[in-house]
Amino acid sequence: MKYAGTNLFSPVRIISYLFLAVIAVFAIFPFYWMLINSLKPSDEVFAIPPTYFPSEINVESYTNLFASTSMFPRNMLNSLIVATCTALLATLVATMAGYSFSKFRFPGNRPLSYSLFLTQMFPVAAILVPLFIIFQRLGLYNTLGALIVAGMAFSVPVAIWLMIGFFDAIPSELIDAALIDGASQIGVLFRIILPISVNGIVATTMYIFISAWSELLFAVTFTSSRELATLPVALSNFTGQYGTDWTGMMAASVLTALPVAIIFLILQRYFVQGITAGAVKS
Amino acid sequence: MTPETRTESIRGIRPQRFNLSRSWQRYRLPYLLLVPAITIFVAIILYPALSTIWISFHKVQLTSVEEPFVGLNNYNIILSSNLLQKVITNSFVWTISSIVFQFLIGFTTALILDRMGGVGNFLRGILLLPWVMPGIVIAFIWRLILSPDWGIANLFLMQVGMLEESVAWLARPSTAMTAVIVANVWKGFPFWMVTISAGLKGIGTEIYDAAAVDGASGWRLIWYITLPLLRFPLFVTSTLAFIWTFNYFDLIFGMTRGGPLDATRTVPLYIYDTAFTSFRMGEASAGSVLLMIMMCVIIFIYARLMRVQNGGAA
Repeated sequence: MKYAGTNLFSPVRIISYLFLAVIAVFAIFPFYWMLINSLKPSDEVFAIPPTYFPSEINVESYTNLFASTSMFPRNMLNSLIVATCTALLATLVATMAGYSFSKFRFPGNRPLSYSLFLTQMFPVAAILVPLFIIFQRLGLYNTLGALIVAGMAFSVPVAIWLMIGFFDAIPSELIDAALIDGASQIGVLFRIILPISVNGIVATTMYIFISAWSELLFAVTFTSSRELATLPVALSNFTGQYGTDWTGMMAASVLTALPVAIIFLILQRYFVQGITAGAVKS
Repeated sequence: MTPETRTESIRGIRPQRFNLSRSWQRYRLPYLLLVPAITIFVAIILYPALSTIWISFHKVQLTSVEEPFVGLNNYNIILSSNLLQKVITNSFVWTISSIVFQFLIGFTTALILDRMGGVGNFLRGILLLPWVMPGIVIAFIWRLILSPDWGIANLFLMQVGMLEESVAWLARPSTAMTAVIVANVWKGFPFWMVTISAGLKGIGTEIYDAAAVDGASGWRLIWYITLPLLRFPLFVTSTLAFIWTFNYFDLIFGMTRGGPLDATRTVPLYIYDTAFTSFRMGEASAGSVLLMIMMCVIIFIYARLMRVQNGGAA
């Protein structure tokens, strides 16, 4: 027992569990509310008092999103392209850098890895103007490429820190043995390091996929045409023809949130590592 | 033994002497592996950051090729406007209120979950969901919850007697900030919960047992043992949370776009709208430079204390 009060019915315990129950409702209820409102007949959203369960399940809000005139599938494809490319490229770059930082001693190792780590605190808004101008001059403005390039820059530092964590766990004896057997350092990377860290690499890729999938600021700044809008941009412009179409908005929100929730629930352990990497590891 | 071989062997045992080509040989691979990461960093973060400074001293218009030097003009314009003061005040209210409530809820939840074993781990995973949700989705959910008249928050608050009549939370300047902070507390408390949980795992049970033997209990344990031992994780978490919250754009953009009447306009929304709604690039850059200076001060302090901590541990 970590704390005094082993009695199951001590007041402290009862208050703790009550508090926990309130927090659980606070954390979960908004998800329930999103889902339930996406399934209500569109007028029922405005019912006073609100209904906690739809009077009839209505999936029209979902089918409308995939109607022939809807841009939603296009938005989804854009998000998929941006998130996949960002995740794969950033993981590639981070795997190389992580291997270097984790398994080699060289002048500048520590300062460089720390500076890269600090970039995850960089205020993104502060470089919007120059990036906008640079992308315009390079002809990247209003392309998905701009979102991938910008997204990579801010994903790579986190990815490097995750990869360093995975690589540090590989014992040096394994590498030394391979080197003695005549393997080159690149050979070690491909034959030993990468096969052992497959789980870590997949987790890192997914972690970046989710953040790129959710990214809004770059997407609203560097793209302007409706055809190139990613899901977050499309959502932020989502208002129906006749006032706010809440069931449609909630259905679109559910579909945007769903991949994130699924990936998160599968890779939870790695996410917790990712979140605590900077905060607890010193 | 011929002289030649002797010199060979002497050269062979003299590794300390600096030799550029030999150092390059030795460190070539680790440096080459870093080239892509550093290139991206320089091209997408460092160079634009320096450009921001340059632009802030020039008159830059998208329609004109000429970019005349205007000295401190951009800074004078934004510093003399009432809007910037309001924006900075908003930013601090938003950031500090958010992280204080995130900490209180996250810390208490972490403490309770810490003594629940496997169930605690499971619950912790579920409670983490808000943190990974896309900001724009969170904004929509809370707009629905906080709707006037038919919103569930109004109904709930009227039922428990905290409100007499329904409030249009996001449409009124006096309540909009509270509303976006509530949504942000919902999103952010799990981050505190997880980092504090990780910190709690590092504290052995022995110290609590010892303190319990000495007669300490309840709040005294938390105040005199738990909090001091969590000093480092709490410090790092609060620094990260401060910077991320200060610069968080998506949630406010999705809920209020900085309105009504700039009541929720924080620094990132101010920069975004100045640059891409009003197209005043110079002023936006001047604001960006002020933001970078503020963040640099915070990151500098953070890096210093990290180094002190590492030095102390070694």
